[in-house]
Formats: sequence, structure tokens, C-alpha cells
Amino acid sequence: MLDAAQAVALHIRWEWFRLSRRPAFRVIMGMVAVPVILILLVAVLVRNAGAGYGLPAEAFPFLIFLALNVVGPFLAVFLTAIIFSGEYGWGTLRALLARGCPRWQPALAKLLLVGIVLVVVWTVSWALAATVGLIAGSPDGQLELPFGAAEGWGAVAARFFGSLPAAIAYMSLAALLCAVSRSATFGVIVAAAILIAESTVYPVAILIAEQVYEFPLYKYLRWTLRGAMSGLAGNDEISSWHFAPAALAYITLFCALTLAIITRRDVSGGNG
Amino acid sequence: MANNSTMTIASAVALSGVSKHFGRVRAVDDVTLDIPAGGVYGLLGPNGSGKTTLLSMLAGFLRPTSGSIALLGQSGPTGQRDALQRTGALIGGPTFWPYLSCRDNLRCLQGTYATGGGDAEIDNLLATVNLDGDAASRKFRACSTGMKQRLGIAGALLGNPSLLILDEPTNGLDPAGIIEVRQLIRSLVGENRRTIILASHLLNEVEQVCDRVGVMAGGRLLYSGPVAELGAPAQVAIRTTDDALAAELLAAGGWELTAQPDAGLEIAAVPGREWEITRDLANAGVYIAEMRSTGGSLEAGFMEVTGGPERLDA
Repeated sequence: MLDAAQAVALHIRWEWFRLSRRPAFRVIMGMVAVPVILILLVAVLVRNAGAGYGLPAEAFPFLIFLALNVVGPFLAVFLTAIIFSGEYGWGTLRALLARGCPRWQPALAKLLLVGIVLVVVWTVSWALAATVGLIAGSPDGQLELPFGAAEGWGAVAARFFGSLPAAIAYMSLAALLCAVSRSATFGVIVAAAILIAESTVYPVAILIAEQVYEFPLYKYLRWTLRGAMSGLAGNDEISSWHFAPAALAYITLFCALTLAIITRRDVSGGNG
Repeated sequence: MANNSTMTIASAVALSGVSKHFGRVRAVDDVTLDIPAGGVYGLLGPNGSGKTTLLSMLAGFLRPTSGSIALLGQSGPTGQRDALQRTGALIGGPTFWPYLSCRDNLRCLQGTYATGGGDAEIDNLLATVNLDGDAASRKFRACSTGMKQRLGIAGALLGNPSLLILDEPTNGLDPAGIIEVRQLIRSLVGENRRTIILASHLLNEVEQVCDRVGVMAGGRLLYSGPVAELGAPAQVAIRTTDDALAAELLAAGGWELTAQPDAGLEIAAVPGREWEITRDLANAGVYIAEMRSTGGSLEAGFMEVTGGPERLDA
């Protein structure tokens, strides 16, 4: 067990060695950093717009939460695509699996590394936003935020970090799609399509069901992947903690299927 | 990784009834094979004969549909995993991360395999495959085909493996590169009596580099043994002005007629005495219109074993 853990840790280390040197990874990280910095910059500038326009300190991380809540799952999907694409496209899965390496080890290392990167992105974003908020926030800020802003640091933190499991869930879904199809392109396109479809079709369907048929469809969509993740981020009338088991179940299911497929399958030709 | 290259093992590879089916296609069909430790074993066969599939099973990339595999004297899942830690493989072309340099690619694999050795081993391997100096810092995607192939061999040599599996390592190389790689392969055997399995469809490559050879066609192993024994006996084929009389004269003169095709004769050659055929026939007034050597080469032996081009095409 200890040997296996050490082996996975070793894989994570060298996986990071490769990922950190990939131009695509740097571009994606830049694409996350730029909007975060821009949002904070605008929030700081609003402070100078006039009396009463300043934001309270905890509103800064809340603004970042609003952005990450939307962008986070896409970020996770693209990161997953990057980390799996090379091994399938370049055939380097064979290089990784040579020397009798159990197939689940590099796969688990990849999943864990994307998870770690996401945790770091969330943590750094929170730290940055909270710091800027503490420096530039106005205790008497009165600017109202849309979407039912959380009040107080605790509530903001719960929503902020409640959106992280959603990204991890979509990461594991994208990994599963990559493993099934042996194609990162397929995985990322389908996962992104699911994300877009969920965020556009669900609200429309719920609205039509309520307005036309007076049917509470949202109650039934609540436990779907999108519903559970949204609920965990505090976007449901039920307390977000109720959604934690469902989120965990989705993540576990996707990751377990991914590992099972990679472990059981032959590593063929150039496409892994 | 333990360096067990000095361990004495009778068989480097022992296969028993190994088959691999892809749906209805029998890529490898009931192969039983014993490859002694030490030396270069050539796996010869036309494209699609099952060589790469067989090697992929040895390297652990494919699971056999049936049969058992023992590597370096170890079998079973755990034993095979241990043996694979001492097995380097280059199968289906070199696969590396294109945005990393040659050196970083090797570092990455060395770290992942936990073979130890550090920078000294990488420097040594890069020098062995002539990729030291500026070439070491070149990104893999910017390397020539020959450089990529040599880096693939270096990657397979990480950790000084006891068994090396090379699938068509000279593919895509220019003539100078081919000679270089063949010399490299021969030199690798010398170190610690390593076993090298070399798959190729190039007969002369196998003839020059290998001690023993296995011939595959249609997924089946048709021959396995010393290279020298695969070559068919040398023969002399002649066409004369009177083949019937020539046959009588040669038989009377003690020559062994191996076959009498529709036109001409085939005679078991005795090296250095072919001129006597010309003399004996000319003295009897029979003159040779055409004379050529047949057989005696690996090519002839290969064709004999595989049943010729018609059977290979079938």
C-alpha cells in the first residue's frame, strides 16, 4: 500500500514536471489569472467612483466565486484534456506503462494532479481576492451584488469553495470520456458540450415546466450532476451540505470508471 | 531498480501456447517459444505477421488471449511485473513528449521508472546513442527521425535492463544511421550478456545482427533456431543445350541433382567446385546457357519456411 502510494506520488511529481512545461497549460493558467485580476481591478476602481459605491471586503472573493462558478468546470475539462491528450495523441501512455507499471497509477496521478491544480487555483484566487478585499474593501460599502450575495466571510467562503467540487466532478467526467474514447479531443468536446447544454437547457426546461405546466421540474433535476454541483455552491433552497454526498458519489463514480477502463484495456499502437 | 543483469537465467523469454485475438483476427496464434538468455534474437516476418503484437505482449502492453509468458525466469502477474522492471522496450516507434528536450524526456522516464542512475546515466546514454552535446537540448519534436529512433533506444536502455525488446529500430533511418544502430545493438549484447529481441522485416538486418531467429507469418511461429540453420542449402541452377543428357552426365559424375524444373537443372552446390560442372558437361559436348546460384541465403530459407511470396500474400 505504501509502495503504491509512493509510486503514485512519484508519478504526480513527474506529471507536474511535464505539465508545468506545456505551453498549453501556461496559456490556460493565464486565461484564468487575467479575468481574476481584471475583476479585482474593476472592483478596486469602483471604490473610487463615489461615496457609497465601494464594496465590502468579502464581496471581492464573492465576485471571484461568480466567475469561477462559471469558468471553473471548463477550466477543469481543459486541464484534463491537456493532461490526457499527450498520452493518447503521442502514444506516450506506452512509455509511462513500460517497466511493469500498474496502469491505474499514472491515471490516478493525472486525476490527482488536476485536482491539486484546481485546489491551488481556488486557494490562490481566494487568498488574492480576500487580501485585495481587506485592503480595498469599504466597511460601509453599499453596492448590491446580483445573484443573492452571501453575507459574511463564512457564507462567502462556503459558496466559494463549494464551487470547487463541481470543477472536480467535471474533471472526472472529462477523464472518463477521454478514457472511453481514447481521444482527448472527443473527451473535451463532449464534456464541454454537456456543460453548455446543462447550463442552457436546464434553466429553460425548468422555466417552461413551471410556467406552462406548473410542474416543479427543478426538484427532479436537483440530483443530476449539474443540479448537485449547483446546490453544493449554494444555488439551491436546500442547504449546500445536503449535496455533498451526491457530489462525492459522482466524482467517485467517474474516477472509478476511468481507472477501471484504463486498467482493463490493452495499450495498443500509437494511440494508447 | 535492482540491477540483475548478471543473474544467470536459462531462458530470457518462454512462451507457451500464447495467442492474441482481436475479435475474429488471430494476430498471434498459439506461439510456443523459448529464447535463451544472452545474444540477439531476431523476430522475422512480413508486415502483419504478428511480430509487434507478440512483442507488445512481452512488454506488458497487451494481455494474451490465452497461453502463458515467463520473462527472465519469472511468470505470473507479480513475477512478470518484476521482470518488466528489468525489461526495456521500444515498440511501435519512439514515443516521447514533443515539447521536452531529449535530456528532459529521459529524465522524466528515469524518474517515473525510478531506475536511479541520475544525470550520470542520462549523460552516458545520450553519449551511447550519439545524442550528446547540442542534440541533448533539442526538443523531441525538432529531432530528425534518426535522432528520435536513437532516443527511443536510449529510453529503452534506462536502468541497464537485462532484456531489451526492439521493434524495427532502424525504421526510417538513413543507411549510415542503420549501420550505426546495428553496431550499437551488437555492442549492447556484450555488456553483461544482455538479451535483445529484435523484430524486423529486413532479412539482411537479422542476418547481420542476430544469433538466433524466429520466423512469423500469419500470427504463427514457423521457425525458431540459429540463423545459420534457417538458410536453405546452396544450389546451382543451370540451363544447358541438352538438359536430359546433362542430368545423366552429372548423376554419373556424382553430382546430387536436387530438382529438375521444367527447364534446367538444380544441383546441390559444393563450394569451390562449381567450375567442375562446366568442365564435365563441356567435355561431353553439352554447353551451359545459364548458370546461377540459388539458396544458401537467409532469404531463401525465409521463403522456404514461409512458403514463398504466394503464401505470404494469402
